[in-house]
Amino acid sequence: MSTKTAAFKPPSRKLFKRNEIWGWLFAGPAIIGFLGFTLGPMIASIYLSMTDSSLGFDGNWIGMAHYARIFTAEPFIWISVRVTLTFVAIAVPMHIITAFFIAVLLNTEGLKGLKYWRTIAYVPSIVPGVASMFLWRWIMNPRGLLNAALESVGIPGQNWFFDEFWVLPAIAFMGIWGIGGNMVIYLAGLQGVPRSYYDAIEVDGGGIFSKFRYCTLPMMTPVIFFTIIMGIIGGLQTFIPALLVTEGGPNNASLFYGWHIYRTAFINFNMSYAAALSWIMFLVILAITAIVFATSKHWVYYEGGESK
Amino acid sequence: MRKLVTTLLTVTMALAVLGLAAACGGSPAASGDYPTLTFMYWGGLDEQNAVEAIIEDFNAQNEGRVRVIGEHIAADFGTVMNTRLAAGNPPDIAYTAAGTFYTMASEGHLLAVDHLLPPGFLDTVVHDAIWRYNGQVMGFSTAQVNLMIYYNADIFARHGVERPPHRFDDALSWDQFVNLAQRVTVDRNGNNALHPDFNPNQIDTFGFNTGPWLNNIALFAYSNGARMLNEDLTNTDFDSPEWIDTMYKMNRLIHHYRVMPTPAESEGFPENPLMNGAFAMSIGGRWEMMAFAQLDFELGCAVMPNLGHGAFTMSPPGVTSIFAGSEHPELAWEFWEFKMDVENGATELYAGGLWQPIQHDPWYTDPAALAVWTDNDAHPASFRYAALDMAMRPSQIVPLPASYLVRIGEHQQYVTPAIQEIMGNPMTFDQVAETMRTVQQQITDNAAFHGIFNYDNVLPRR
Repeated sequence: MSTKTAAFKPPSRKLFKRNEIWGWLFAGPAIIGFLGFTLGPMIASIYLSMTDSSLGFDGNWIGMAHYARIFTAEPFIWISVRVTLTFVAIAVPMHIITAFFIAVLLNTEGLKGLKYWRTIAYVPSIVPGVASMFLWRWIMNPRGLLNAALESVGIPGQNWFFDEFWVLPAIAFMGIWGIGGNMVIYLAGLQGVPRSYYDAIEVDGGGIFSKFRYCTLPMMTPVIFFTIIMGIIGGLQTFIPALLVTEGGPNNASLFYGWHIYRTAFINFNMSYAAALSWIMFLVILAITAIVFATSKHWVYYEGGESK
Repeated sequence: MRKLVTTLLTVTMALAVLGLAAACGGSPAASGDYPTLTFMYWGGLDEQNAVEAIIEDFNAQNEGRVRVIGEHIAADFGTVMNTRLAAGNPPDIAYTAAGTFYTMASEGHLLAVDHLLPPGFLDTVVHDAIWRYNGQVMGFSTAQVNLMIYYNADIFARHGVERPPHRFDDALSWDQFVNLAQRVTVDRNGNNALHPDFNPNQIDTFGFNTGPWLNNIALFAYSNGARMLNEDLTNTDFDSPEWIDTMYKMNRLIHHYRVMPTPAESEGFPENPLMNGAFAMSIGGRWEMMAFAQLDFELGCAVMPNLGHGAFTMSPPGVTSIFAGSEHPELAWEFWEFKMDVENGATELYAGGLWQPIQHDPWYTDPAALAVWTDNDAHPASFRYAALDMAMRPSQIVPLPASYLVRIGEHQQYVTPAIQEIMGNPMTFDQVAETMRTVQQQITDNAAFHGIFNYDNVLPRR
């Protein structure tokens, strides 16, 4: 009818208004969820952390006393910080290098059964964390599959989860199982690298190493940057292995900060102190993320040329 | 079309909002005019079935008068409880973990039940099954669960070694106990730990095993003259010579005599390690007997060794309490008393080996009542001595630390790693002493933060 003949007309005020309403309606559940279930509890936990309450909100106001204790008298804080940072230092590079390596392999053109290899590499990461944890507990048991395999080739087995030295590397190793997500991200990134760049390097006489060093790696830095950030945040929050496998032991060797918060809140029922511990964790994660972001301008390459 | 979409979206949202509102304020509506009670509990399938049977019997007998609704919490009981309390929606009656009893009592969540108890009731209950706060009874152990030594009698028979004793008066001395454990510790070549060719690195059967837990170690410590608290009951006493000596003995059992695995080694044991001969004796509690009863080996029960002050036992139970928010505490008590009776609904759970009554009168002392739940294959004859006789010797019961150390979980944060360290690594006496002194210092430094002791259950004996 009229629209058929009319030239382009800017949307009427009424239509704009109606679209806005619909926009809010669709975004509404997410916004309400965020306010009610994330932001609200976060703000409440600031208040909670300044009381001496064990359960609920009926404690007395004690101001910054919990925070003072965390930095002066808390005996587990430095153990758990050391454990958590050590774990991140082991796990993040281990997972990123492995995922990247596998992604490069799975990006090989003409590889036979490529689709199947990619699926096999990704499938473990969709197994729920708790289920895979039980599986690995069994595999890495002192009398489990891994030790049997090692011993069959003459390498002595270890008490993986129950040895102070091995427990963190063992948990990090177990995490390789879940790198499928990162691998897919890398794979997507690798396929976005223009073919012509490789051709240019070939023309200049560069080999496979030069292609990787001067083209693949720089082009992939934004993706690597993203996965490092996510890896660090995830690593700092590690908690399930302690809950299901080690309970922070042996001798505090896997006392993850996240586990320390959990046991303070749900085993020792000291909610207010756990809330204070959580806020310190939040600030530390924020700070570390900011630091990684700050370094990014020196090594992350954006094609748009905004920085290099 | 657009109208249809609009309508659908609106209806969906309205339903979502309504659903949320219902979920927030929802509670099962009372059926009829009579009161309903919520009973919240945990436990495996057997326990769940038994509790449901008890509830069914109780409801049938009280048709039209009161109705109990069982709420079985399969996982994260503490979190569920915590959420209910924070939301102001407590159960009427519920299990509570021993370690959280004092937090809940001190915050006013538990009801003092003294006025509900029939006259003389407390005299019928095993002494350490009564949970007090500020002098008032606020809970009873859900079941009595005395720790003792369980052994695989087949292993002793196979090696021609006499069984460990089950009578208090016959308890082995420390040296006798070590010697007995050595004779049933066997390496891959069949040599026992006293044999000159014994290979301590390839052990098939350890003589003894215990987890690196404060409760289990305390059985040795108390018999060795150690106490959890110091003389004036103001602090723990882990740096006392008796505690250090006990911990050194544990270290020697593992790393010198090799009759016991390190905690790490014991993680590698097969399923059902006692039946499968991974060890010949171990410290365990009542709750294990039900599983033992279904396995194919001859179970024996023995008393702990006597390190100078007689054999000791301890009962680390769950607690059952009525909640202060309950509108019908009398009815809750009525249900509780009903549940305590071995013959109401769950006899097979007592007879099967899971529950043990907390009332010694009549269930331990009256032969007919005793036979109702122990005259069966799940209960070897030695059980009556190693468990029931010991449960009625107040001077030989280690008071459960959770029953007087408020915030016990936080104390264990210090102690458990130290026990793991001492049991996990070969150490000299001085190194053990240093570790225990460090632990005690940490507890002293943080005592003010972790709160106070509760003297009710402590004064007679620490």
